[in-house]
Amino acid sequence: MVNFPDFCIRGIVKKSYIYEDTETVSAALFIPDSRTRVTRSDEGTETSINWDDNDKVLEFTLQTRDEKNQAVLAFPHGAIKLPRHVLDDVVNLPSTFQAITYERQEIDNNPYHGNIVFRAGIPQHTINMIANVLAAHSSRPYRSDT
Amino acid sequence: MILKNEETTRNLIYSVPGLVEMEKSFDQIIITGSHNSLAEFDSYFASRIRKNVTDYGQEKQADILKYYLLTQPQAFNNFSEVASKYIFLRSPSRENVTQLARVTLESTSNREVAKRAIIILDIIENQLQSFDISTLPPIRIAELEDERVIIEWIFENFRMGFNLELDDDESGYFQISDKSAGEIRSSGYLKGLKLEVLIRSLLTLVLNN
Repeated sequence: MVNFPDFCIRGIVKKSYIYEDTETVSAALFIPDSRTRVTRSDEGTETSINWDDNDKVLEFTLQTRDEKNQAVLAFPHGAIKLPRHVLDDVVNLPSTFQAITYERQEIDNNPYHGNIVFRAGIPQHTINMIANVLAAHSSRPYRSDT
Repeated sequence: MILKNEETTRNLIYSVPGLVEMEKSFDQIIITGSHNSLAEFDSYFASRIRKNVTDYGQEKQADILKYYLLTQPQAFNNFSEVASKYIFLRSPSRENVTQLARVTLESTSNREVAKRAIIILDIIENQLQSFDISTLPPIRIAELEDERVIIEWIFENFRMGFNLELDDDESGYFQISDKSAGEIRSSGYLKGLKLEVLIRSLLTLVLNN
C-alpha cells in the first residue's frame, strides 16, 4: 500500500499564476496538462506534484532544474504546499465525488514525484472548480533563498 | 400661457425626450411607493429598480438618471440643472473591480476569448453599479498555455469566476467557499444560461459576504 504524507508541493512555472499583492495563487496553477491524457491508460490528465516526504523536499523542488535548460530553475517563481486532506475532501464530497485521484510516480532524479489526476470525461468547469478549491487551500508561495 | 418647453425652471427637463416621463415615475415612486409606471424603461432596468426596492426599501433616483445618461448621452449638453435635482452617484472604485482584468485581457493571445471575457466584465460592472463596492478586490485574469482564460474573483472565504474555453460550448462558471461562507461547490456550463441572470446569482455570494 502506498503511503502519502500530509502535504504535497506544486512548483510555480509562470509568474502570472501568483497574485503577489495578496500572496494567493491562481487556479491556473492546478489546471492539468491536457497533453498527459495520451500517456495514461485511464485517459486522465495530470497536475504534477512532489510529495512532501521529508523536510528537504521543498528545497529540492525549489532547486529543481529545467529539463531543457539546466542553467535555469524549473520553478523560478517558487512553490506552494497543499494539505493532502484537501485532495481527500475533493475526492469524497458529493459534488466532486472521485473526480480526482492522486498517485506516486517516481521519475528520473526525483523520487518524490507524483500527480493529481483528473478523471477522464469530467467537464472543464468542474476541473476549474476543483483547481480553485486547491488554489484556495494552498499555502503562500515559498521561494528559494538562493 | 407658457409652453412646457419654455418653462424657466424645467426647460432642460422638457428638452430631453422621455425625461419628463421618468420624473413622473420618480414622483409616483416617492409618493406612492408604487412601481406601476415603468413602461418608459426597458425590462432590464425595470428589474433593477424592483431589486433595489426589495433590497433597500427605497428607490435610487440617481441610478435611473445615470442609466438615462449612459444610454442617451447625446441628449445632454448641460445637465447641471438635472444633476442638481437628482443626486448623481458614482463609486470611485467601481471601475477598479474590473480594470486590472481589462488591462490583462489587452495582452492575452486569443482575441475571441478576450471579447467574451470583456462581455462578462461589462455585465458584472453594470450589475454592481447600485452597490457600495469600495472593499471588493479586483477581478483577475489567468491565461493558460493553450490560450484559454480563467476569470477569477478571489475573496478571503470564497472564489468565483468563469472558465472561457476555445470552444465556447465548453465555457463555464464556478463558485466555491469555505465553511464560514457555506462550503459551496458549484459549477456549470454557460451555454443555455442568460449571463445577466447567472451573474446576478453569483453576485449574491459576493454582496452577502
